[in-house]
Amino acid sequence: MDFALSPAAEKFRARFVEWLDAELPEEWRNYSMHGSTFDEVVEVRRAWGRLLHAGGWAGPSWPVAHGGLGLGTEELTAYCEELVRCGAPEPMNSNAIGILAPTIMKYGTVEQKERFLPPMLAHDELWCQGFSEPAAGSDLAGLATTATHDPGDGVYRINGQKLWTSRGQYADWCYVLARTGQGSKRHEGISMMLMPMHQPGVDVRPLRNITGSSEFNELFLTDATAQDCDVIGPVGDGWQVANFALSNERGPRLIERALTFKQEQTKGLEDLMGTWDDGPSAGVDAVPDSMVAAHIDARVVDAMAHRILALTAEGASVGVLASMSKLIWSEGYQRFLSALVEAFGADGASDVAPFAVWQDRLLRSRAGTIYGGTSEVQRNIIAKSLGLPASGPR
Amino acid sequence: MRSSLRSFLSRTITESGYEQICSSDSGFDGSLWNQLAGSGWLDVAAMSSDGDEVSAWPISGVHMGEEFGRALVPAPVELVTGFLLPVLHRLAGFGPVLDDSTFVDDLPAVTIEPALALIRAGAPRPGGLTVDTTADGTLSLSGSVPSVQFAASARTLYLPVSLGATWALARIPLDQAGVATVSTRSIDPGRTCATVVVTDVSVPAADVATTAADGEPMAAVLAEALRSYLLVLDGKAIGAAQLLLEKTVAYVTQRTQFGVPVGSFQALKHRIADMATSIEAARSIASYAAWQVAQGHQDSTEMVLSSRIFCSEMYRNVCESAIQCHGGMGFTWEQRLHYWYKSALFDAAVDGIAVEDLGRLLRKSA
Ligand SMILES: Cc1cc2nc3c(=O)[nH]c(=O)nc-3n(C[C@H](O)[C@H](O)[C@H](O)COP(=O)(O)OP(=O)(O)OC[C@H]3O[C@@H](n4cnc5c(N)ncnc54)[C@H](O)[C@@H]3O)c2cc1C
Repeated sequence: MDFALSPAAEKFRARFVEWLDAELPEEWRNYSMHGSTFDEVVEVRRAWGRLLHAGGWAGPSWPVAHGGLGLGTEELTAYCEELVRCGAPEPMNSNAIGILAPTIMKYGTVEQKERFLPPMLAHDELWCQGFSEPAAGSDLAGLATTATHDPGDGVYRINGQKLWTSRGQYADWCYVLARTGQGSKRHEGISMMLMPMHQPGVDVRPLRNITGSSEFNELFLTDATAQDCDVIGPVGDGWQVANFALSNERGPRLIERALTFKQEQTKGLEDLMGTWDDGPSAGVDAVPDSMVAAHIDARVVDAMAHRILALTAEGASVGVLASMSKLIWSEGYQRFLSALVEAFGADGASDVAPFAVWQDRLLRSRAGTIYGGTSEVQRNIIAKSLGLPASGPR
Repeated sequence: MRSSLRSFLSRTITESGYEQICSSDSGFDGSLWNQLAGSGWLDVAAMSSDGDEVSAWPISGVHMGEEFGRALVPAPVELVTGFLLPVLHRLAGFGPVLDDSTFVDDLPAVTIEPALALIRAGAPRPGGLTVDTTADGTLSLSGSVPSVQFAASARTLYLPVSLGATWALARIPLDQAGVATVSTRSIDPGRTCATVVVTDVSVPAADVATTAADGEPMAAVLAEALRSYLLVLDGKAIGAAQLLLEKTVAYVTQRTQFGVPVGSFQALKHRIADMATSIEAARSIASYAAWQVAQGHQDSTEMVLSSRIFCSEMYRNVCESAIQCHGGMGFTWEQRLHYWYKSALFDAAVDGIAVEDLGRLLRKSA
């Protein structure tokens, strides 16, 4: 397996770095959400998405025909590496650009592609994802929201409740899963459709998260409408469409996460040494074991990300490595942050820089083992791939 | 390449053969050794430099190690393949002629312990050996060298020695006056060890290598071979753990309790999923580290140490989980899981890289 990037990818990297050096504003480098309101964060992330688009650097893995960069695996690696290296904020629409867009490209009509893709990439329309519900979390097929066809008005009328809708209060559109019919199995009769957020039937109620900030929401849908031409893929067969969408959530983000982990681990160690009484050169002759473990974990995640990219570049299947790497990343990253905050001692609990930033990261990291399939669900997937027998009724 | 090595090893090392060797007095079988040494398989480092279907050394070393770990070889194959042969290839005219019968009837004893100081930051551990150099390059040695694998059955000891500012590899015949080997059984029944005690033994300059054929100082040659040896050990851990995972999946699928296969219980599934995940994680970091070494990457020592610590812990944990998932069966001698568990404990302890070794390296480079 060859982990090196091609000369073409390195050339691409050089051009991207040149642009970043010229265009990425100083105050957006090493960006941290800590200390800003979420309104401010959203403004920065939206403006950054627009800037990337204006410069012709948005949509790295989108085909050129849809306005993207059409990057291959190696260029994509270089692209992610450079964004992480300068600590740029995440573009506001990155969830839709990475998850919904490939789904529209695969299942959507020509009209849908022309209508929705350009404003998504330009950050003129912001998106949110309406899958989870109170009774449908890990068991997504338990969803109960209904969408009833009204052929007269050419719309679906949507009723039900969505939960954990990230960025819903800023979104113009939502991609929703709802029941359009009854199937003999729970996975049948579900459809995915695009629903405007600004309408009377959509009531968005923000929920505060663990950091105190309101970033996700409950959506109460009462006769909210979606145009019947805005169903993505076959009506009643949205389960496979949704699964395709979710498969995009796991893979490509790993390299970003791996690099961020490595970078934060280096910075965390610096901050820790900065707290040692006589500065970094004092008597302590070894880094504490928990920080060595974090150093190793960060390299393991990085190695897994590079292995997955190398496999993808060779056209080989990644299979269950996607679940394995998500587990190794999310759990290792949490261990690192929790050990770092502990290693800071009493300082670690104080509200001054740099400690407060690390507390914020630790709290945020707890989501990594919950979204995109919880750790337990990943272990179920891995066990199944090993051929272990299905669980009985016990 | 790997599948033919795998079938060679499974033909050569049978379960009953392994047990016989482990329970014999010497813990060593000369005819098995001759088959291994005469097979050409131990010199993969040489193959990868000129062969084309073999991947670059030490990437191929990780793969070799995986097969050694699966088979669990009761002979010092990792040291010879990973360390000794790569060093000897760099030294022209030193030691035996390297061909298909090198080491047949001539088991080498190798220790890397003294050389670990080259890649492990911090003060060298106090050694039990004093080394004096005379003007003509003769070394005079007194003291003891502990935990040398299979030393009691070997004819020659290859010993890295620190000469203050420089390093050397000394070649010491073990059947000479002034040399005694004191056998010790280790926790690993497949790895007998000995303490080699030397009293005023002089090693003529011809048996002391201080530079490579191309003039590179011995310190660099030894450090390079150490990295490749540690990667072969990583491979051994990965191959062994993969086999235990397969055994465990097979066992929990056929063993029933409460009317269902025990492998259908989620508590076991999740534990086994963690075994598989840690094995793939280990495979990833070991191949990435090996690739960095092959590329001459500047951080490669730190990556090799990271990989060694991770793979070593992974191996031990996978063994412990395998035993637990087998229930009482896992605790029996006959199930044979204990052989791998003991090898995991041995590899972590002898020539092991400790978390604090990396801790010091990171401290120093901060
Ligand atoms: C920060 C954040 C942002 C999110 N954003 C969005 C969004 O924008 N849009 C959206 O649709 N959703 C979003 N989600 C929802 C996310 O997908 C769900 O939280 C996730 O699927 C888990 O569902 P749940 O929260 O209902 O937990 P539950 O499924 O109720 O799980 C509770 C516990 O039970 C365990 N469990 C459940 N099933 C099993 C099983 N079969 N075996 C073993 N253990 C099991 C879980 O692992 C967990 O520990 C977000 C979540 C978070 C944390």
